[in-house]
Amino acid sequence: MTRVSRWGARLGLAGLVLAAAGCADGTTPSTDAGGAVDEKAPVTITIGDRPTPDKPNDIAAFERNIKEFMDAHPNITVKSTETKWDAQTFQAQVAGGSLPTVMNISFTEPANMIPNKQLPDITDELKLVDLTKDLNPDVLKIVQDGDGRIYGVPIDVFSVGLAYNRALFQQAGLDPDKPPTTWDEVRQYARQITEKTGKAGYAQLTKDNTGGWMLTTMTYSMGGSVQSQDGTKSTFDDAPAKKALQLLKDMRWSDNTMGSNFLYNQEEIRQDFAAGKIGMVLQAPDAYDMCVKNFGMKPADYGHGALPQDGGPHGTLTGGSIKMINPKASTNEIVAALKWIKSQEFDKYTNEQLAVQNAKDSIADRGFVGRPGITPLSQETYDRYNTWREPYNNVPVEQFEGYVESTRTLKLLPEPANKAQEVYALLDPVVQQVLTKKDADIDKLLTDAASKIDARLAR
Amino acid sequence: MSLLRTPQSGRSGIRSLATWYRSGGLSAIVFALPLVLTFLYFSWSPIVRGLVLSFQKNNLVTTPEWVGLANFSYVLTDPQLPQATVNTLYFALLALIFGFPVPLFLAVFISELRSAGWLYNVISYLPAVVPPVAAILLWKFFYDPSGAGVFNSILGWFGLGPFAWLNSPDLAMPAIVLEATWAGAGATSIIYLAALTGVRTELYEAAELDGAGIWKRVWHVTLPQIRGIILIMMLLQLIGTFQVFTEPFLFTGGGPDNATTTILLLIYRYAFINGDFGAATALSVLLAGVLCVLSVVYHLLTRRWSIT
Amino acid sequence: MTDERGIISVADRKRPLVRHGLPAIQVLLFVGVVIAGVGPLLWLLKSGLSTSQDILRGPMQLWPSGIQWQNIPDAWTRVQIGSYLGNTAIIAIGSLLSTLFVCTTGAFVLSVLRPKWGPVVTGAVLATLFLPGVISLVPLYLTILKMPVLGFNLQNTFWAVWLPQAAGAFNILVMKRYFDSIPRELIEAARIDGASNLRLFTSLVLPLSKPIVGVVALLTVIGSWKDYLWPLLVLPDPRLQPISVALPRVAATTEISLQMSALFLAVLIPVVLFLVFQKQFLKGVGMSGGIKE
Repeated sequence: MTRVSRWGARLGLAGLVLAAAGCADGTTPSTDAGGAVDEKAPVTITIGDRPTPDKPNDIAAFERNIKEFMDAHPNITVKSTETKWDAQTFQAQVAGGSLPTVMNISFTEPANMIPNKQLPDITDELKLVDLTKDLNPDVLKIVQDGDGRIYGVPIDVFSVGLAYNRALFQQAGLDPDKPPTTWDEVRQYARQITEKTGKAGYAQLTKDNTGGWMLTTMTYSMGGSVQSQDGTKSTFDDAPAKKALQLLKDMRWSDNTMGSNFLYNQEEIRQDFAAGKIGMVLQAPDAYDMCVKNFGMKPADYGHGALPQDGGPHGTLTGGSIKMINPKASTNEIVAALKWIKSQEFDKYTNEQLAVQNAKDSIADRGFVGRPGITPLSQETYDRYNTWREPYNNVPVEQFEGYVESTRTLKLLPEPANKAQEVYALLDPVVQQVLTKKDADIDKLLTDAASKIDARLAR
Repeated sequence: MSLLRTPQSGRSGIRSLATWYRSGGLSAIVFALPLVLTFLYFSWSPIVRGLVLSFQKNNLVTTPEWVGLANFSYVLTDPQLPQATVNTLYFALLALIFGFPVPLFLAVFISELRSAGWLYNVISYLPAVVPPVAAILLWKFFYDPSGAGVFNSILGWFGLGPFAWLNSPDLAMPAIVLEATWAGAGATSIIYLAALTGVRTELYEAAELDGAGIWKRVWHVTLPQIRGIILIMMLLQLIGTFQVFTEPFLFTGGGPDNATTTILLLIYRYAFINGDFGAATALSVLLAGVLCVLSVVYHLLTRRWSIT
Repeated sequence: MTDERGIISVADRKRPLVRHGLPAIQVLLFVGVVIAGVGPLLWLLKSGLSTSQDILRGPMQLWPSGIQWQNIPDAWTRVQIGSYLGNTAIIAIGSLLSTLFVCTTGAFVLSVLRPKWGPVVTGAVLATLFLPGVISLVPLYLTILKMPVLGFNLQNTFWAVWLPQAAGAFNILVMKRYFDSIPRELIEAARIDGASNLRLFTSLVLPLSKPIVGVVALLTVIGSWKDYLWPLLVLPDPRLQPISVALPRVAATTEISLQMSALFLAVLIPVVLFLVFQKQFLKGVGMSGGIKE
């Protein structure tokens, strides 16, 4: 147009440079840094989670998405980095202020990041890009403060179930279409698997915070809790957690049905599961992707059932991913980031053509279509989306029936609200001791862990 | 300004400036710049900053808050600290038991094999050439606790095992040290070997005439002469083992049941998992204090030996 | 061969116990050293050419399902061992150059030019020698994330590994001590001939210091070869990671056969390099022991 708009553009750029410079200095951001929204102003955003070079198909798909988005939004420039969330280094990255504009983080983070002002308030911008209405209000709670302001966008939800090896079930004389639904059955099945096949009937995650994570899940399934509602005190020093540990202890030492490896993180246990060394293991259904794609498991061998319960349906642990936005982002950047998130994560749910295209792309990129999960959207939206994509399913959905059934019946219980990853880290050794020390004193272990965790929560 | 003052101060300014220039002057500053800048950025200021951080509550987002000794008291009362300390000492002790006699014996022996010695040398140095992380991943697989694991199969031929290795709170640490010894023995023995070439051989003659047997000669003639380097290697090893991280981090992540959690692993957890930089630096400062004493001892010793 | 005697004398060798015992010990030791030094490499070679199932079921058997030659090119292209080894080399060479640059120029100032403020700098450097690296791990990491005054972030650049490496007090002091031993008369003579400080540095001091430069270089390369935690922290970008950081990450998400062939390649290349240069290498390592004294 005219000179004025060009000046505007330049000022916008200068603002960006300032914002970028501001990124580095670790100060508390002001929520109205960018002033009024200008949806036409040129803006640059950086997105994290770019696939690594060993996955050329994923990179190609990723680059294509960026290009399409930039063609559709000429004023937005999208850059990307491989930065991704990792429980082990995320705090350091936040501290360093080196985060991209948008990246995925775990459900466990916002509870501590919101009060620390490490996430921006994006309530108004969400309304502007018309995203809020799609979201399931229960899931949205994860990213809200007491006043209902929103600080992130949940995009993916999982709940824990029981992954099992159908081939081992068959060899052990068990019906592969009937996974166990109670912990008593799990113990019984594990015995049968070990007896008939010599493999571990059941294995447990124990390392890199996953030990605490799965102990929490088991405690939930026994009707217990791990942390008080307000996140100030631990609550696991009671019957359900004891029962969970006692069960592990019995399976390990009396039945000897848990194999010989008791130091497992997520990748290691999936590797052994895919190699047919483990009969049953607690996993979210996305384990299918890695087991089949990375570790060469036969799709026909994979089964996924509900999280086993003890004495009535109590519920299962849910978690998931959130798109977080850099707290230093200007309003224009936030809006651009939300448009990106909407186009990548949400439009496909409401647009049949996009949903189908997305499925075709996944297949072309050697990905999976139709693997069951749960949704951050309303159930009807999700069901409709799945109907559109059904003809393209390349995952044996019927082998997930036990799990799918349970998503409708089991209550979804959130992870501990306060410092969840630290709580998990301190519970890891508890699980490890029960599995590696025959005379482990469960009562004392839990009491000690509770006092350690309460000290952390108070700090 | 004091830079400009030369011993002949009092003479004319131009003259002293010239002397200053001649004695290095400007170019001395230019030559010193790389050293001063790298140390300023990567040594001196991080040390000061570490000390400051240890007295603060600082998550680097909200404004830092002075908390006095709270970080230190928190770290010292953390129930994980005694265990990590014991583990670290245990690692150091085992590393000394495994890692000290093996290379020394190897070196003494190789030095006796004049013609084939180089072959032993090359072969025994091979493990040190393997990328250390690759070696750890390989050994982690060797330590597979099932009967089909590599070590368990081999021991199974002799009717032993299967052992739980890394999965046992009692065996995990020795297993880690065994790998570390394997990886380090070759390099250490070569250093001993170089020291052995300096041993005065006429003393063997004398000892033999006095009727000393082979073992006596090793004990009374060889070892005392390389006593200096032995002590230094031991101290360096000790200082190194106090900061051990990679092996427990990759082998066990500190498990099972914290049996292999070392102090550095604890520092890493404080800082990079909990984001508690105050506690992390407080523990670093404490550990540094202990190590500082060790390295002062080391320097006193080396000074004494380089004089004698 | 017998001109220089060892602990065991000619007379000893005639005693029956020694005559039979020594070869026995030799054989035992040789077997032990070979098993420890070559065994794992051979096992890795075998496993790198096996199927995953074979490795898991019978790790000590030869190839029950035949040799899988395809594993090796697969590991090379899919795991990209080559580029990670390349990064390792870049990191080692860069650390080497920065270390040598800083410690030769620094030692030159402190030992040869000896300005009035020299002892202060020497003292400040010496002080850090007694403080182990662990004290500055966290603050050093924060420094990399945001360089004081300059304000930029060195994370995900090789500088983040190269520069801190150069701030090693040990190298500087060793270098300084060596420079101290250069006769002052040589330096004075060069000065009288009108040599500038730069000339003095490049044509007199450096050529005289080849052995020590070699040893410091070797120690630096070995140190950076072994480093894990630091590059793990400052190089989160997989395209920049050295082999040590990349391997555990890659191993976590690849099946066991590919993992083993990747490990094999990661081991093979340095072992071959070592065997080619073993003479110079072992001599340097042996000398480094003398330096520590």
